[in-house]
Amino acid sequence: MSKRWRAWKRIGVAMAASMALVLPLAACEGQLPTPTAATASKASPDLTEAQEKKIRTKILDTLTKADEARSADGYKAVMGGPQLEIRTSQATIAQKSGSMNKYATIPKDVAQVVIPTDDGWPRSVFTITTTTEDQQSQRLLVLDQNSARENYKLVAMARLFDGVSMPKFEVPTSGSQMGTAKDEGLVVTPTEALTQYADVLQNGSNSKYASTFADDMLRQRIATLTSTVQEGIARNNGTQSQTFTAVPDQMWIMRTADGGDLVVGRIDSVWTRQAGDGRESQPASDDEKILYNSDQYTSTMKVTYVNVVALYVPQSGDGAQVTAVGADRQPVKVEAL
Amino acid sequence: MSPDQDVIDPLKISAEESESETNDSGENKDGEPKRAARPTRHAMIMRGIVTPIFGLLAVASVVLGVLNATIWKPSAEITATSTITGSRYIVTDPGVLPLLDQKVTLSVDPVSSKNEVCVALGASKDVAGWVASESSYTRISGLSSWTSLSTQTSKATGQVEATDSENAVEFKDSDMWSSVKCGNSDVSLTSTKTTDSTMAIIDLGRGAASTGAQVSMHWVRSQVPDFAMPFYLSGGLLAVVAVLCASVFAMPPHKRRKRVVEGKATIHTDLSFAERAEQGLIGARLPESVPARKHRRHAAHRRGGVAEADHEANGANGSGEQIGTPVIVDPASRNLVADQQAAAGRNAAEILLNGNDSAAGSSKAVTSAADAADSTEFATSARPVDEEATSVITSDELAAYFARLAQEVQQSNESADDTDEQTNEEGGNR
Repeated sequence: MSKRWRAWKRIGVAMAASMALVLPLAACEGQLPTPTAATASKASPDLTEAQEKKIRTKILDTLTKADEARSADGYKAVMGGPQLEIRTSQATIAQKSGSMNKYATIPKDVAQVVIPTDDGWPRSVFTITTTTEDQQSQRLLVLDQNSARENYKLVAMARLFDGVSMPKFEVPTSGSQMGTAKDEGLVVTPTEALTQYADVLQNGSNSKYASTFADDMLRQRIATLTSTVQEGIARNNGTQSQTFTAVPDQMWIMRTADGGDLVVGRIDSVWTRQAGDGRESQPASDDEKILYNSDQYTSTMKVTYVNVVALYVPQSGDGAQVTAVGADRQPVKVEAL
Repeated sequence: MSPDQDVIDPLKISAEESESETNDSGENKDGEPKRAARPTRHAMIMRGIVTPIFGLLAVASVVLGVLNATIWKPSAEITATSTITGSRYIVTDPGVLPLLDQKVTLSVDPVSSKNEVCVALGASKDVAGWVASESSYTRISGLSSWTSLSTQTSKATGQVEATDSENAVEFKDSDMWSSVKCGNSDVSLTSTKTTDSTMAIIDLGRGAASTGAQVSMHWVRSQVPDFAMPFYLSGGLLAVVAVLCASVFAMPPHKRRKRVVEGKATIHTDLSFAERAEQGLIGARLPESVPARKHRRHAAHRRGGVAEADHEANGANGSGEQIGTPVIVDPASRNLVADQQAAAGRNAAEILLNGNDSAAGSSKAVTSAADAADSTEFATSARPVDEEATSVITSDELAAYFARLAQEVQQSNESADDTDEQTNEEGGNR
C-alpha cells in the first residue's frame, strides 16, 4: 500500500517538475522592456522649423489683425520688449495717418531661422525674413520665450542694412547656442558693445569707441539728421542734444558659427531741441507731429525714440571691429517742455 | 621459388581469400543474430532510454513551438493602464512613449468629467520646464507589468517660481507642444515617429489632482518576439540526436570507429570508453590495451595482405610432404601432346636427362613458338625430382636424395625396365 502510494508520489513529483520546466515557456509576452535613458550626446534644438513657423505665423497673424483694427490692444499677447513700444507707436500714428508705416511691414517668408539649443529660459529664436514686396531690406526678428509658462513673443525687429554681410549660423536642425551678455573672447562683450555703440551714436566720430565700430548706415543717418537740425537751430540760436542710453536688460544674443555673437539690443534716445530767440520748437517729422497731437508748442521739445540695433561682435583679433548690421528707430513719445 | 609454385600460389591465395571471406561473413552472420538476440548493455541503454527521452523532448519542443506560434503567441497589441491620482500634471519619462513602438496612443479618462483634461506631446526639456514650477507631479516611469504602468511621484526642482498670471498661457495654448488634445472625458492622443526625447504631459486641470484619471498607453508592436522558432530548431536538433542515439551511438564503439576512421585503433572489448570509465577501469586498462589493439590491428591487416599469403605458403610447404607435391591440376597449362611425347620418349628408354632435352625439342617442333612457357612447364614436370630437391632443402633429405639418385642411376644402367617403372611411378604420383 505504502509502496504504491510512494510510486504515485514519485510520479506526482515528476509531473510537477516537468510542469515547472514547461510552464515558464508558455504564454510569455517577452521580457518587459525598460525605458532607456535618452543619451543626449548633442543638445537638440528647442524648436523645429515647423514649430518656429507656426509660432511666427501666429504672431504675424495677430499683428495683422491688430494693425487692421488700428488698435494696439492685440499687440501685448504677441509682442514685448522694444518692439511692443515701437509697434504701438506706429499703430497710434497709423490711426491718424490712415496707413501703417512702410517700415513696419514684416514679410511672412523667411530666409533663415536660427534656433537655440539652450535648455533653460528665456530662449530666443532669431529669424531673418525675405525682403518686403516693395524691396525693402530683410527683417531680423527676435522671438523670445521668457519662461516655460509663457509663449514666444516678438520682442525686437531690426531692418538689416542694405548690402550688409550677415554672419553665418548653424543650421536649424542642429541649432545654435545662445550667447550671454558677458561672452568672452570677443572684441568686446555684448553688454559693452551695446553701451559703447550708444556712445558712438551720441558722439559720432568724437566717441572714444568710434574705432571699435565699423561705419554703418545708422551712424551716418543720425549724424546727417543731427547736422541738418543743428543748422536750423543754430540759425535762431537754439540748442539741441541727443542722448543715447543702452538698455542691456533688453538684449538678445545668439552665437554665430564662427564663434562671434549677434547682439540685438535696445538703445533709448532722447532728443531735446530748444529753440532760441523766443521761438517755438516744432516736431521734426510727421511721426513726431502725429504723436504730439497738439498745437500747443513751447520752446523746448523732447522726443523719445526707441532704437533697436543689431550688432555683430566678432571674435577678438587683429583689426576686428563690431559691425552694426541692422537697426530700427521709432519716436514713441513727443513732449513739449 | 620454382615456376611451378608461381602457378599454384595465386590460386591458393585466392582460394584462401575466398575461404577467409566466407569465414568472416560466417562470423558476421553468426555475430549479428547473436547481438539481436542479446544486445549489449550500451545499445539497450541508448535505444531503450536515451532515444525515447530525446524523442519525447523533440516532440515536446515542436509542440511548444506550435503553441507559441498560435495560442501562446505574444500579442502584438499591448495596453497598459493605471489610475493616477495625487497631482495635477502627469508626465511620461523619456523613453517610455516609444517603449514598444514608435506609434503610441495615450488615453486619459478622468474620473470626474468636471474638469477639462489635456494631453500634449513635447520635448523632454520643455515638459520639464513646464512642471518645474509645480510642487510635485507624477511620472510614468515605465511598465510594471504588461498591463499596468508604473508611476512615481516626483518633486519639482522648485527653482522656478510660478510665472505671473498676466503673461502665463494656458496649458493647451503653449507653443512648446508639438500636439495637444483636450476634452472632458476619454482624451486620446496618438504619437507617430516618437523619439526617445518625446514626452507626454497630461494636465488634469486645476483641482483635479484628488480625483485623478485613468491613463492608458497603447502600442501595436511591429516586432513581436518569436518564441516558436527556437523551439522548432531545438526540436529538430533533438530529433536528429534521437535518430543518432538509436543508430550510430547504439553501435558497439569498435564497429563504429573502424568504419569511420581507418587509422583508429579497435578495441577488442565491447566496452566503450565511457563504460570503462564508469567501471573505474580507466587508467588501469587503457595503457595495456593500446599495444594489444595495435598488435591485433596489424594481424588483421596482414590477414588480408601479403603476410597472410606468406603464412599460407608456409603451410602449403608443410603439407606438401604429406600429400605429395601437386594438388591442383590446371588443364589449361598442360600440354597433352608434349606429355604423350614424353611418355613415348621414356618408353624408348633413353637417358633421363637427354630424353628431357629431346622431348623439349620435339615439343617445340609440334607446338607454336609462343608456347614456350608450356614447354618449359612440361620440361619441369618431366623432372620432378629436381624440383623436389630445390623446394625441400633440409640437408638430411638432400643427402638421402643423392644416395637414392646414385642408386637409381646405377640401377638404370643395369636395367632400362627398372628406370621405366620408376619414372612411371613418379608420373603417377603427380
